Amino acid sequence: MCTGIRNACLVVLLSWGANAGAADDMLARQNYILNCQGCHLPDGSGSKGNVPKMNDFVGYFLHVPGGREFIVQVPGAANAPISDQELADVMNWLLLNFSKKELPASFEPYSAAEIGRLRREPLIEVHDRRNELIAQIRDKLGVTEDK
Amino acid sequence: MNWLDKLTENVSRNVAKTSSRRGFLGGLGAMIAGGSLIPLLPVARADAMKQPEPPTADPGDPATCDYWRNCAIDGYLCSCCGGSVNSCPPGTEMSAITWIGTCKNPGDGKDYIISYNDCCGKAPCGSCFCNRNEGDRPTYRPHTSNDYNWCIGTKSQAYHCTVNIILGVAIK
Amino acid sequence: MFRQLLRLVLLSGITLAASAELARDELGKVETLPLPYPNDWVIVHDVAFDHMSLGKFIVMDINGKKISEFFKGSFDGGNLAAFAQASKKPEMYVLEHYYDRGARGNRTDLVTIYDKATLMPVDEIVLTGPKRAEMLVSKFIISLIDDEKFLLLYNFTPATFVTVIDLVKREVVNEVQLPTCAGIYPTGKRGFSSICSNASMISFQLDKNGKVAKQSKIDPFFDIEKDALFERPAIIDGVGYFPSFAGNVQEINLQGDAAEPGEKWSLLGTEDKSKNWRPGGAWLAATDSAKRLYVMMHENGGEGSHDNPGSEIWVFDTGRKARVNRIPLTLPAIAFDITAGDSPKIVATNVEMNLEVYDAASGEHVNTIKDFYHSWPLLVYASP
Ligand code: HEC
Repeated sequence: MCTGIRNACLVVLLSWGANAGAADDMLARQNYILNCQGCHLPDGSGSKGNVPKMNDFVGYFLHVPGGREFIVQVPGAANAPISDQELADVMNWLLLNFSKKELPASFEPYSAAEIGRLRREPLIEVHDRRNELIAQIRDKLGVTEDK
Repeated sequence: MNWLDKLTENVSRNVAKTSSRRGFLGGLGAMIAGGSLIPLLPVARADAMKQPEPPTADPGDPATCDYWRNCAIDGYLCSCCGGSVNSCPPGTEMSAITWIGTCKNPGDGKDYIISYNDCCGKAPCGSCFCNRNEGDRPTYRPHTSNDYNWCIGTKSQAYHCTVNIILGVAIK
Repeated sequence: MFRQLLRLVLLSGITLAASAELARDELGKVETLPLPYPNDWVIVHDVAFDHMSLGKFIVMDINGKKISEFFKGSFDGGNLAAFAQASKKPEMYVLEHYYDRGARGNRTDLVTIYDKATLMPVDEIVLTGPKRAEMLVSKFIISLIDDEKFLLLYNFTPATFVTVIDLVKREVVNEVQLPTCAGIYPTGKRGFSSICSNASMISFQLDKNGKVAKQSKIDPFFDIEKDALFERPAIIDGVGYFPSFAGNVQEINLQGDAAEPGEKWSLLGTEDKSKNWRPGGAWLAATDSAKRLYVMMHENGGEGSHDNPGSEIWVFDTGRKARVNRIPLTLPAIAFDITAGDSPKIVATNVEMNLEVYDAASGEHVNTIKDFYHSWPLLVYASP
């Protein structure tokens, strides 16, 4: 865990690909399992019409303004009973594991501080906000969700 | 302990339950916060879900409410309905959407992550009703709530029974 | 007077003498029920957990000793239905769904509106679905607001949102998204509040058309891990009394536009704490005409005991925040409600799935209602 020491966290995050068994990675995955997987499924594929597919898609949100905030402010993420650092690790873990190739080249991992700021403002009209962003993704990148 | 002892005809369970209380969610939190980080979860990637090492022991009868994996089940045990502890009865559909908790295996003393999946599409099984709630929380926190019918996204949402699938050992 | 009596006696004597045969019965007679229902009538939800498509609601006279006395009638509630009843008109609302081939096939979700006198479905509002939250413990997942003009339904898909039905127009007029919250607690003039997954609340006021006019977020105010609030309160004069897992009660004022968490006080004395008394059950809180708070309690509680049957019902004066009575139950119970009026009675579902009736003031056990067909009479609804 990278409690407090931000530099140490960064090192771990950056060395992810090489270090698949890192303790943080394991813990992030466990937190995903315990807090998210029930709805989002082990591979992030969700359930048609009920839970959106994250694999091969969720990274696109980071290409449009507000998308980076949105994927943390959805209630499932923002309200999870884990610390800011743990949620940052889960978000980074799921982006890299489910949707690495859709991420912008400039992708910067979430920090605990950023997560802390975002989750204090959870979204209410999640569905409406999502539709706006999906439209922006379509306009900007020409990709649509496979519904 | 469960509400409907008459229907399960298993009164001794009450005694067992009261004497085996653990504040396990709190315990798990403490483990994550303060414990060592040696990963026991034998899988690093979500798309490579493997079974954990066979536990040293898997004590108890899965077809009873007392069985350790049933620590937060609220419904019929598929073991009594033609399925098993981790498989649905013939002709039903397993709901992918579910909730996930943790139960301690008294056999090896480890906390296992358990996925409570409902089997759907037939009238309720009606056998072996259990209602245990360790780690269960009210419906405003769905990802730890066993009060919902979790047959969601299935062809029919009719609830039949519940399985409990080991997803791994919680990191100590 | 005397002569009249004499005539009666003579007449009946003559009838008897004339023939031992019974009069011909009227053909095609169907009973109706008196309005309003007497205070001692309740509606019992048979959740039919092992045959859910045949769930039903039974109108019961809790003074009846045998089934021909206590069973007044019933109406359907398919697949873990949810129930609400109006107090200003003789209408009841059942949120339910059916598959056209039993447990499979096309599914129809609807609100069926029943007339209290005839127990006939008088109207229905067909919904798009599947959306509705399907659960055993189903009070406050449908609620009437705005003088019973709007009916609100809780949905779980697993996104959470509320369907707004205009009961005058008999149609769905809105859906209000929730940030993962549950419960529909009527709030203010024309609004509701819900508890959310980060221990916060959210409140909405609606306009005349059922659209959101005002929305308020209430910061997280309790600890779901250590002391979760039950989503099963008793509401007294617009204040929700929400028992908590560890034995407290959280007051939440629902009179204004937005929910206001108020005082949190303990239901437990020192000795109760040492014996780990806890609130628990499928429905564990209710109130009476004197506005006392009743909470079902069990001993030796702990993590996971929150649905355990209660062996006692404790009675609290909410003004003094003090326990005023302790009612031991003849058999542990999992749910109860309290009838209206000057001599309120506790109607409790015991662990054998029978009903026990207690005098709420004295705590005296006054009736057992059993042998009414194989059923799961989980929740009791007193007449409003
Ligand atoms: C109870 C079910 C549930 C749980 C638990 C849950 N989510 Fe979600 N999640 C949803 C639903 C439903 C949506 C779709 C948003 C909407 O339309 O309301 C969603 C949307 C999302 C999205 C946006 C993806 C998109 O395409 O819109 C992300 C990212 C996300 N969730 C992350 C998480 C994370 C991280 C966790 C765990 C910490 C989590 N969720 C837990 C149900 C859940």
